[in-house]
Amino acid sequence: MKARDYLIEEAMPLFWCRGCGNGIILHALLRALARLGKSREETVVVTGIGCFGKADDYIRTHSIHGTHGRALAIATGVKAVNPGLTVLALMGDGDCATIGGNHLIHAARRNIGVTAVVANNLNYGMTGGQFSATTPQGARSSTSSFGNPESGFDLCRLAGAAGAALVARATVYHAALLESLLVEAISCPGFSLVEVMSSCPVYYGRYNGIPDPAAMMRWWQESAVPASRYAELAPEEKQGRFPIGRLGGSDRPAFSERYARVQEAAQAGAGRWIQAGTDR
Amino acid sequence: MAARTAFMQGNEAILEGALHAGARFFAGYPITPSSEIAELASTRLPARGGVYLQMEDEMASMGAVIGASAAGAPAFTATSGPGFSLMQENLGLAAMAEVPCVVVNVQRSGPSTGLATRPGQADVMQARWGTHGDHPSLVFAPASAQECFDLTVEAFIWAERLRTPVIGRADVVVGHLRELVALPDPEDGRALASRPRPQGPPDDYCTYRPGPDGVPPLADFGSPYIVHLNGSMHDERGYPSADPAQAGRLIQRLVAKVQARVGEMVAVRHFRHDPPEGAPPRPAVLYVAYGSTARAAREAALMLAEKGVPARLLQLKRLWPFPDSEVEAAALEAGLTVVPEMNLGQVVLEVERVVGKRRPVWSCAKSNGEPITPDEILARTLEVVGA
Amino acid sequence: MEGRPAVAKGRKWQVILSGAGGQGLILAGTVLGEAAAVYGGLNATCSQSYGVASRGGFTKAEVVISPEEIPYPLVRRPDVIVALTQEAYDRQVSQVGADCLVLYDSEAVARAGRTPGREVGLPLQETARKGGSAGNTNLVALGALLGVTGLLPVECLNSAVSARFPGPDGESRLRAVSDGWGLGVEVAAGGG
Repeated sequence: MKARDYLIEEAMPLFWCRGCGNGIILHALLRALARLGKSREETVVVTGIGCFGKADDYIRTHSIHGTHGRALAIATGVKAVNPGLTVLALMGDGDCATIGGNHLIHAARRNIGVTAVVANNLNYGMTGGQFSATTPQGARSSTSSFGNPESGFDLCRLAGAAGAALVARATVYHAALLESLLVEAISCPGFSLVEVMSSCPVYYGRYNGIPDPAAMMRWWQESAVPASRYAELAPEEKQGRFPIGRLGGSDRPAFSERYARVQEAAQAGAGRWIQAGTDR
Repeated sequence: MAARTAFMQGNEAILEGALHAGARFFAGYPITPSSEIAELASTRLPARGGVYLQMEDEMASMGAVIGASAAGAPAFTATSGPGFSLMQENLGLAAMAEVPCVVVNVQRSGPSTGLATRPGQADVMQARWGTHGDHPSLVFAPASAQECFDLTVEAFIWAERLRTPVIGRADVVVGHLRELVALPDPEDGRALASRPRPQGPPDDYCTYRPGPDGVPPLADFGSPYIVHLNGSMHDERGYPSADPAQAGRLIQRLVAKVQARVGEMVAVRHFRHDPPEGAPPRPAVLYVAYGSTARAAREAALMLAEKGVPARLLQLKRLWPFPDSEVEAAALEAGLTVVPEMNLGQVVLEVERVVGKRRPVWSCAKSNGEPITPDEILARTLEVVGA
Repeated sequence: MEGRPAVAKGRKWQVILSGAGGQGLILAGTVLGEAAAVYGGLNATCSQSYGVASRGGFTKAEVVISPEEIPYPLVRRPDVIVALTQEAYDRQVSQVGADCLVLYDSEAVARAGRTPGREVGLPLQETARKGGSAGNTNLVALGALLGVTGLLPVECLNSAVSARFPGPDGESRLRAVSDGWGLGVEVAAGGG
């Protein structure tokens, strides 16, 4: 399969705005699937609601376009009953980190074998550029004209602390890195999260002085630092910069591996309450 | 045929019914008074190769149920008022994306946290209209432990057959009531609940191209028939569509596919209690009741007949779609109708809609966390019969 | 005091088993219902009423046993109330009719004698303790209930207990039933 084989071409042109980073993420994802040789039938794309939640419109694998924030919960049910499937949850920062934040930490804790791909454009694009749970403190948005009084999540640290098997970050400027991180994440048996810093020149850029798509790309190029180098930066050098690459994860058995043992124990009748009070 | 009988709780019977119908997945969040269902599911499902997931909340529970069902596992959840409120969001997704699933609401007294261990029946309209937008609603209401089993099986059958969410709506009294339940041979349950499957070349398959009964065949995630489920307005392929004609057709079909089959579904149960021989003829009193309240109404009917008034009980086993014709026929045969329920009057509105001005319809409402008693129903009846 | 009542074939019994959370009253109600329905060939319902606490607080199980179908499964007018705590006794004093028997634990219920009908106080907890486990007070109470009222042959209860507790502690539970039954029969025979 080639990347193009996963694409629903009749759905073109893309719905996303000119300069939006989501098309770059979509393309990298399709290339990663092709590199891994995933068949359409073994792959399930779950989306929530938001700009990147429209990604399933263009993907020719199995898919479910769900509800805002619940993509990971839906993906968890899919993977739990059929661990052989490759399950991808495609979300934005509003979807995954804000309304769906609870599902994110629990999916990571549960270590369910789902790959979360988060297009983090630092605001709600589809609803008009309001601030989200990843919008930096002080940044302007359509609902923070005086500067965001709240701080944004570091999604990778959040998912890592919650127990994800693999967490990684790229930007839409670093498309080759993104593709290889996606390959790594999809191959990981436990919960993996790839955060992709994505451009929203129409809202985030315009409200924060970088309305030009090319300028946004330069911004990603300048502020993203490979993880190994980032660790060596002095605290003042870290200001306005963030690490990219594989950022962590814990080596634990995936949920499905552990649940298979629950099934074995239950089938052996080891459960204390098996059929309690029902069989005569 | 009953393979065995057991003295079991309504909640246990719900679990047994789900297993009998072929359930392979449960996701839920602990809540009184439905927790027994989750506890039993956590051991019985993995014992048969199924999966029990305890989710972080009820929104996630419904999400996981939808995901599991889309992957081919007949799936269900169980909850009570506060959790049922949270499930409304993804109940809408199940209805719109046409993913079969069963949701059991063991009702308690509300609103909000209310009285967590006390009975109520005030979620009747929520079960119909709780999720936003026009949507189908299929709701069964058991009044005994046996019906908890039977109607759970019924719920799975119709969920799978019609690709729609179905709600089993018990209440605390029934959920925690222990009675003898006749359990059929597990073999009898095989393939009872099955969804329509696509045939023909996989490349021609469309997730939402309806069959002759208005129900589109559904393939599993993982099958060569590629499935595009969509909670947004969509065309037959599952691709988003903003075409008003398309949208109108879809909404109509979602509701019509359920309505078209109501004649085949469980609806009501009739009880007649006549006065002793020789009593002067009088117009009958009809009770329309559901859930545990139907049991109280039955006792009240017996007492009323003793007093020389012919008494009828129409027990609603299906609340939605509302059994209009059955209610109409029974109400017109009686002199007046009394509708006892543990809320301030919800089903009585439907009975009034059906009966109109042709016969008097009286509410017998109670909403304080205490079950409605036969004596209260009788007292109310004597009050309105005298009126 | 009248003799032991004959095993009631024709009548309906409405029984309340009451006490505190953790005393196993719902289990007792279940076992009694099971004894009647599965081993006694009668109709039976058991419902429960409890607070939000798993331990402590007022708890009751309502059991209805009848040769006829049971339309309304809850207790309307109790024939027997078993009370294992003072709170359980106090909360139900006002609802008890003159034809209701109150069977209480004589150790836990100090202030008794306030209902219009017959009352029987028995050392249920003490008997359970002497038998090896205070946790079996519920089964001692069931045995005593059957002994005093004869509402069901004790063999039905034994069968239900054996089926529910097939393990090694089944013996001690059967003994608890038997000890309670002995206490009850003694009362019924006029010796208590």
